[in-house]
Amino acid sequence: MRRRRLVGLLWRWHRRLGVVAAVFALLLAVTGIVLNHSSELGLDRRFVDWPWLHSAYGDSSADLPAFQLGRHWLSRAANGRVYLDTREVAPCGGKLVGALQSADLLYAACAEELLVITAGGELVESLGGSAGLPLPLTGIGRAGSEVVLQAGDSWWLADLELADFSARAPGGLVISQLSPGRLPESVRNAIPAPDAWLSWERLLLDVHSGRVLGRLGVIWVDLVGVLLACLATSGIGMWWLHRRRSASGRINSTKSFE
Amino acid sequence: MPGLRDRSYRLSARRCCGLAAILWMAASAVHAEDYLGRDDFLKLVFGDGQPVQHTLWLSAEKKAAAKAAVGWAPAALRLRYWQAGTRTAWIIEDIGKEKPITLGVAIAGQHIERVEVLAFRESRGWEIRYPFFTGQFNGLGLAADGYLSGPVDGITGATLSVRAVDRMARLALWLDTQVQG
Repeated sequence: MRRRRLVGLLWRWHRRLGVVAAVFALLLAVTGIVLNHSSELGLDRRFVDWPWLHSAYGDSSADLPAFQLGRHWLSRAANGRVYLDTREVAPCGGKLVGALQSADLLYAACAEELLVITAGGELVESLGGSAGLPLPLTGIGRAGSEVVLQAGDSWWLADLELADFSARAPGGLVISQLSPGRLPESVRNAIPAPDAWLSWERLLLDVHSGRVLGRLGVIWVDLVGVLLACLATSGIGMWWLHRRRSASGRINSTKSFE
Repeated sequence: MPGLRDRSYRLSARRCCGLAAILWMAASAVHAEDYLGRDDFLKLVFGDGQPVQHTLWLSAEKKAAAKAAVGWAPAALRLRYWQAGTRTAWIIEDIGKEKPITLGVAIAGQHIERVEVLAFRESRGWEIRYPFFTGQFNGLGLAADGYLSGPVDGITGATLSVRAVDRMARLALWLDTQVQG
């Protein structure tokens, strides 16, 4: 009686868990089979072009940091070069952290380099760590008529005539900085785009492992794995109980014949 | 067998140190670096002397003249140099393969006195910073054909960096003749 009740309970939960697990088991099976043939299908050479998915992966390379200087846009493209609108200026080490217009000159501050540029987009000079620039730069601003550079939490006065950056900006200085803006599409389309990296193979792999939904997705796939293990265990349990019942039924019927 | 165990422990510790040293060397080799600051370079060139800093503007005509003379002109419009008497020191940047190399060149009497790699940002070719390479430029001048007056041995695997240093050294010699009048 007790064994029959146990079998009934196992059957009920086996069915319920089976329905829940079926959807995910199918998903895992399909993605697994496709992944096994990703090279033949060319999935490792074809790339996903969905900006929202790139953003979900935390890839901000499509959001090129850009600063508007008057009517012009200063940006650093994916090839590591600074552009004034669509005109290539020069390579610039590190991320573009700020820009400034002072008199007739423009300044592009990258993490490892400061570029001085004419209003027409010609490079006047590039200054790096060997010129005494405080690194890594984290910002550039103006305090009155002075150009000031930020490295970490400190601000430094920039004497660009002598290329001297050794004086700290005094406390209480009012510093104005430009905020980054969104590069117009016309400029973005004319400068080198970031390299494609999100292949269909990578996406399928992340769907298969649950990583496409971040840490929660991985935990969810782990739970589905546990669920499938439970189904296998309950299935084996039911088969074993059913086999024992059939065997004892056969013995009883043999005995009754005797 | 405590002795053997101790020995193997010492060996593995030694191996770890060796591995760490190799990894450190590899990391320092591929990492972009500023080897020498501007002020340190000027101290090497001028000692305790006080050089005067000048800027040289490279107009389109001057760039064209540099290209005609030595086959190359930098993209920048402004170059800084330091002078004390007839000795000049130049800091020039050029791209080796993909990233800029910053070179310091000291010139006295129209001959190179010292070449130093101030910063190197490429992943390969960093061997050009060593004195066995930079020392070859000492005493060389600019020949009439725009090349250096003597040979410079290259480094396998660093061809583009070697070429860039050669270009910058020739340009520095040409610029020196321009500012010395």
